[in-house]
Parts: sequence; C-alpha cells; structure tokens
Amino acid sequence: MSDRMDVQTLAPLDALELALSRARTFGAGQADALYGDDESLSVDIFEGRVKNVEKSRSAGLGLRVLVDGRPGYSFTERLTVEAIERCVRDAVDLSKLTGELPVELPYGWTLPPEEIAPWGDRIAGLGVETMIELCRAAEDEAHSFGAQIFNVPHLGIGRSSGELYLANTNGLSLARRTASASLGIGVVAKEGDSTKMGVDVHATLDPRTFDSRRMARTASSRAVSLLGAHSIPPCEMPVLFDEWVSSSLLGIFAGAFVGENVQKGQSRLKGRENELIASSIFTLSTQPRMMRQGGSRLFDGEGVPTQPRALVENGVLKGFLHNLESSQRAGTAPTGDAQRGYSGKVGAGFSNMQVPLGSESLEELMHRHPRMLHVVKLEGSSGCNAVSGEISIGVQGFLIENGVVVHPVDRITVSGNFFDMIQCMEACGNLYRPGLCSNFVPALLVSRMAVGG
Amino acid sequence: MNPELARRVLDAGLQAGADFAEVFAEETRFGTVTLRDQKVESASAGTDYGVGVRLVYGNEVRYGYTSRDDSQALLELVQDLAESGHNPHAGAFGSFEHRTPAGLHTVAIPNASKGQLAKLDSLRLADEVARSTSSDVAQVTASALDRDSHIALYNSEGFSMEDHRSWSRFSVAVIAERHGERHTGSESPGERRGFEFFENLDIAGCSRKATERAVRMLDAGYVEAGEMPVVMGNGFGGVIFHEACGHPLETEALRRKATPFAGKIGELIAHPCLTAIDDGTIPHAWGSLEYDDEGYPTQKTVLIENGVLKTFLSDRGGAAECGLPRTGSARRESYKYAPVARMRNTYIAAGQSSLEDMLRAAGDGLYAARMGGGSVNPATGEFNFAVEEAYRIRNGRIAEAVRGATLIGRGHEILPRITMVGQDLALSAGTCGASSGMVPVCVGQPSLLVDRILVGGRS
Repeated sequence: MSDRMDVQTLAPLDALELALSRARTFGAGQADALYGDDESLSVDIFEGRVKNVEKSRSAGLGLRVLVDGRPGYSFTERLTVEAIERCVRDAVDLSKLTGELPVELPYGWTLPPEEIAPWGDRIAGLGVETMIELCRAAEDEAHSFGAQIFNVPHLGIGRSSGELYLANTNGLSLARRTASASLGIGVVAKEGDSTKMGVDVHATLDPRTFDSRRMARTASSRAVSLLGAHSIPPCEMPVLFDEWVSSSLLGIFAGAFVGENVQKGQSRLKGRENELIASSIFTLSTQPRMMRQGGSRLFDGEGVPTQPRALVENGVLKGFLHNLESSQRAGTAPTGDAQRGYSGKVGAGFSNMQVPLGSESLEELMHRHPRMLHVVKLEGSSGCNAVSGEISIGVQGFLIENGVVVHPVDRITVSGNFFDMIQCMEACGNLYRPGLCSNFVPALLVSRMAVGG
Repeated sequence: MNPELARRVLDAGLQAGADFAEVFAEETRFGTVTLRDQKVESASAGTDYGVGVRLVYGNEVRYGYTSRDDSQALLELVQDLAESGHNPHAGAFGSFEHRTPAGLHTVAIPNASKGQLAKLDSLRLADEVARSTSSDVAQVTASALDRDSHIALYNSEGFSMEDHRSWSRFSVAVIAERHGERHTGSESPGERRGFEFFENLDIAGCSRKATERAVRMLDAGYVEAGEMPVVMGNGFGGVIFHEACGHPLETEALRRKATPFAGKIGELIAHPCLTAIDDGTIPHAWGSLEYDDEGYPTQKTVLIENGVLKTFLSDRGGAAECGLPRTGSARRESYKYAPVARMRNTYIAAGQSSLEDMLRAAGDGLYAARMGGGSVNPATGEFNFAVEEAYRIRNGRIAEAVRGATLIGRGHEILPRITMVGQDLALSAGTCGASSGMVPVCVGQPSLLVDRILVGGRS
C-alpha cells in the first residue's frame, strides 16, 4: 500500500498504450491487450436479515504478444508502470515456449452506433435498499406458499457493470460497456422423509423486470412438486427435457461446435460439415447481435465484428465457432466468435445460444407418447463428455402417462450419446425459460433414451 | 503493506460502527504451462493484486475489494460498506500483535527462481511415458502450475499476520482410443511446495497410472443399474464424503439451516467404524495452512469419531453464531472473497479391514476404484457422482470393468451404511468451489464398503 505517485494505477488507455509499445520494444511483431474494469454490488438475505453485502471495484490487463509469430500470454491486476513492464516481459519470455500461431490481428474499424447497448443507468439505479426489499418480498412469498416450505437458504441479488477496452498494434481500439443484474432464490420443501430444493434465477439487463414474488412462487412450487419422488425401474423411453434444463444440457456439449476442438481431434463433428448430423427439426445458432441480451456484443475478444450464424440448420452442420487462429487454420474468414477475459487465453464460444421455438406447448408434447420422462432438474455434468458425446446424468422430474403426471421421479440417470440424441430430436417446445438472458433453448423431446435407476 | 495505512482503514471501520474490521492484502503470481501432444499448447503467467476490507455488524458481513491500494480508494471503500445508524466504536488496540507462520510448509526451491521453461522436461516425460505404455493412446495433455502468494492481514482485534504460501501442481490426462471408443484417465497431484515438487514427483508413475486406467476402461461394457453393495477405492473416493458430508458440516450450512446434521452433535450419525477428520496442519499437503484467512491458527479437527458427530468446521462468525469452538477453517480464494469456513484436508480415518474382506462381504456388487466428478445439494444431501474406473464384484472378487456407473444417494443416509473401513488411507489433491471461491483441498479415505447404494447406469 502506498500513496506515492510513481506507483499510481494507470488509466485504461494509458495502460494499453504502454503495454503495446513496450511489447514492440521487446520484439513483438504484433500484440493485443484487453483492459477490464468492473464494479459490482450484491446482497444476501437470510430470515429477513441482511447476511452479506459485497462491493467491489477491480481492474486488470491481459496481454498477448506474438514474437516471431509465437504467442505468449500474461496478465496483471497491478496496473503500475513497473507491473505492466513485468507483464510484458513475462509474455515475451513465455512466447519462447510456444509454436507459431498464424494470425493477423484485425486493423482498426469503427463501431456502429450502439444499438444493442445495455441500460447502464437502470443497472446503476438498483440500490441496496431496493435489493433488500426485493429479497424480503421473495422470502415472505416463499414462506406463505405453504406448510411444506421449510427454509430459504439461498437468496441473493447483485448487479455488475464494467468497461472493456481492446487495442492492438494494428491500430485497433474498441470499447464497450457491460451491465447486468441477477436475482436468485433456492427454497427447501420438506414432507416426511422427502426434502427437495427448488431454484429460480433471473439474469437481466433491466432490473425493473424483476418480479421476486413470482420467482419465489416458482421456486417453491418446483420444490414442492418433487416431494415424494422415487425411482423407476430401468427402461428405454422418450425423454422430454423441460426448457428449464435444455440449455444446460446443450451447454455441456457446446465444445463440440468449437473450431479449435475440432482441429485438435476433440469433436466428433470433425469433417462432417454440410452433412446431416441431427434431426431435421434441429437448428442451433449463435446470436451475438440480439437486442439487449446477456451474450450480445458488437465485437469479439479479438476485435473482430460479430455476426449471427447458424451452426446447425435443419439438421445440417453448417460450420464451427472460430477465433482468428482456428479460422485461419480452417481456411475460413474470421467469424467473430472469440471469447476472452483478461486473465485467460483466447477461446471461442456461443454469444447467446439459440434453438428456434417449435409450435407445441409442453402439454401437447407430453401427449405425443403414451409414456415418457419429463426432466426438470439436472444433477451435475460429470458423467458427460463433450469429446465422446457420452451422457450419463442424474436427473429429477416426472413420469408422464398419456399426458398426465403419474409421480415425481428422482434417483435416476439418463444415459446415451449426445450425437445420437440430436438425431432423435422429435420436437421443440414453444417457450423459452424466462430469465436466462444468454440462452434461448425451448423444451426438447427426444424419442428414446436409456433411463436407469 | 504499510501497517499505518491498515490502522487508518480499520479505525475508519470502527468509527462507522462496525463491531469488527479487517484488511486483507494479496499479491499472487501464477504460472502455467500446458503441453498437448508434444506441443506447448499454452504458457501463461499473471499477477493478482488487490485489497479486501471486511466490516462485521453483528452477524452481518459487509465485504468489499479493490485493485487500487491508495488510502483514498480504501477509505472510500470503507464509507461505501459502512451501515448507517450505528454508534462509532473507539479503536481499542495499541500496536498490532504480529503472527508469523512457523514454516510448516517451507519451500526449498522457489518456482520464481526456475521460470516456466524448467517445467517442460517433466511435461515431455509424461507424454513419452504415456505413449510408450500403450499404443491405444490418442492424446496426452500434461500441465504444470505454480502459485505463489503473499498475504498480509490486519484486524481490529489488534492482530496482524503475514504469510507466504506456495503451491505446485502437476496434471496429466490421457485419452485412449480403440475402434472409435474413447476413455480418459487422469492424475493430478499437488503440494504446498516450490519447484522441488516437480523434481521429486514420480512423473512416469503418474502418467503410467493414468494411461493404464484409460486403456482398461476401453473394453468395458455398460453397468446395469440398481441398488447394490459398493466397495469404494481409496484416495479420490473421499470426494463423496467431502461433497455430501463435508459441506453440510461447515458452519456456513448450519447458519442457513441448510444441513441435515443440524442439532446432531453428540449423536450417532454414522456406523461406529467411521471416524472423519479435517486437518489443516499436515506438512506440505495441498489443502494445508498455518494461519487461516482470518489469521487464526489452523488445526486438526475431528468431525466424526466412531460414528458420533463431534463438531462443525467454523470461522470467526460461524463459531460465534452457532456457539461452537473456532477451528481455524476460514478460507478464501483471493482478496475478491470474504472468508468463510471451508474444508482443508478432509478424510475418513484408516480402519481395520482389508480390501479382500470388503470384496468378500460385498459378494455381488460394484468396485468403484476411482471416482470422477459429481454434484451435491448440501441442503438436501442429494448427491450424484460418476465413477471413472469401475468393476463388477462377482462372488467376492473383482470381475469385469464396467463404464457409465454413477453413485446416487443422500449423504446422511449413506453414512450409517459404510460398514467396513480399510487400512489403505490415501489423500488426493483437488479444488473445491463454494461461496468464498475455489480453494485447494485434499480429499481422502481408505477403501471402504457401502452396504447398499443406488448405482445409475444403462438398462
């Protein structure tokens, strides 16, 4: 800790300029750097009282240098001249270990007027008092839901906002603001020997849309509906993944669509472009330019303009998610899917994952077969493997016969293979789960999977 | 860190009516090199730097952090955190009573003195050994990580503490492939040591073990689902106890009434053959400390003794709110988190039985030689774990390898069903995520027999 001038924290643009100019001095042909500056505030409530309040302001700079084409990465949260110089030396030293990376960093371009900008003022206007009120209302609502509600162990709300600056040695200099808020509640219901938790979480760019009482009712009814659940004998049957779990399920296997994984032999989709890999009802896309959603952005982690794109269209594999390195290796134009934080490597991923809505409601889907499993909860993904596609996942939900709930089900696993599962996709629901602002996946009906328990 | 500035920050907190104030400053250097298929896939280094300030009003915690360390930023942070309507407390301490670690986990060769290049030889060795162990090896990923952390802590009870903590970890993951079937085997040991950890580690042994496991599982058929006796292997098998019993035994769960063990101290909650311990004092163990992240001496805590619940893991606030002794278990990933009670090195103590006895007692069941990852809901105790290496037990003997097995149950229901505990206690390094972030921990156990548990698989 010091008040001395020479160890003062540099402003974002000064820090970036220093890092890039030193990188050139130390021999980097190209370099890019990211500066993130974030603020957050969160509140946690238990039994009507504030349990925790957290407030933060932190910044960091991440640097990639290319020395003779070889990349080296480093980052620092100390933003003094001395610390940034050490960060540059670290990156240059590390570049000696790596192989050549065939990329040309983008040249400067100008952002269009920010039509997808977040409501920074609405987020900043969410103060502690409002946060506490929203949580207390939710807690009251949960307890008045019924005698089976035993406890509300998890109840919290937070907001964060920040600025991100990206610059490179080719004259690129871009910035964007981020702002979002989230509210989450976990309710425990008890009846006899049975204990179940129900959760609802909303993330949003507009905190005015929080309806915490409604969320409490949803979480409570989800907990209560699973009370008295029991296992069913092993069998094969149609499985309906509710819109509450479908995006998590697809998310586990998102890596199969990442170009870098494909090139490294870590995806079974290698070499299958323009082939039918899924049922013709299945379309999957990345939608980075949706208005005011969590995954929306005009430029990616390397400064390439983003573009909405289908990866699977009516069952046909159309392409992969690329950063500069993987698009170059694949021989395609940059696609703008790079993802990057200041402390990490450049990856690639979905910016708002979307599967289009189908025409049938959940109830209509339940009538499609005389007997099916309706899954409303997934329990961890450790039995799943994005490389092999293996699925072995604990689930909870309901046994459905002729469109009617027979009983809640737990202590079972659903197993199969993701790449078979998408071939057996039979129909999509007509709703997205509310409050997931970067995932848009409806309920998915799979015609046959192994259910064991 | 300048103690005078720390004092000004603490004074400002007490002036704002807080019952307790604390400053935690951290500078941590990281370095990682990853080799995939003989090529360096990534090499990175970095510095985490910042200051966390905690104000406590009764049972309410107000925590903030900043990566700026000037007095203006810190005093502003205190004002932002302060709760209105409290009378100021006077600063009650003279000079800080300084706590210095005794050096239980002393580093012989600082990683910083070696640089990232020095790790390359061990990574290449791991790759070579895997490939020479089996021709089915399709991919080898090896990485070496080091973390070197300087922390300084000051609190309004008049204590200060400085600690220099080093961790080193090696990981190897091998993918074996035959006829389109793939399986992964991995090993990732870690210790509170410097570069000597990489020098002394049996890298070839780790790599061979991971390879053999991946290859063995290639031929495995799918396990049939159902309830059956399960013999769990030692070491990483302890992850189930960690997740399904350890987390509910943290005061953080008790404070939220989110544990099936509430009100059970002194009661028999497990079979009398079971004793479980959380020990922060094991020299050089991955989850060890000297002082915890509130500056309190860490200790060896007996959680369950011969089946009887003895205590919970506590931090300052948890001990006070729950009326329990303080166990020196306060931990946080970094200055970005307020500390809470967390596990350190958690294990089931060695018992009397041999693996043969347990297999014989199981008769017909599953031998879960090595667990994979899983999930647990501490509030309900429900858990679900994948088994990375599994075999059927038939006629009291280990039979064919099987894949796709998951163990499903509830922690407090399984404890009484652990009826035999082996002698082969081993610990295994891992990373545990919870409200105060990701912290290094060990899990561990000897081989043990669970009389009956639901095995999920394929029909």
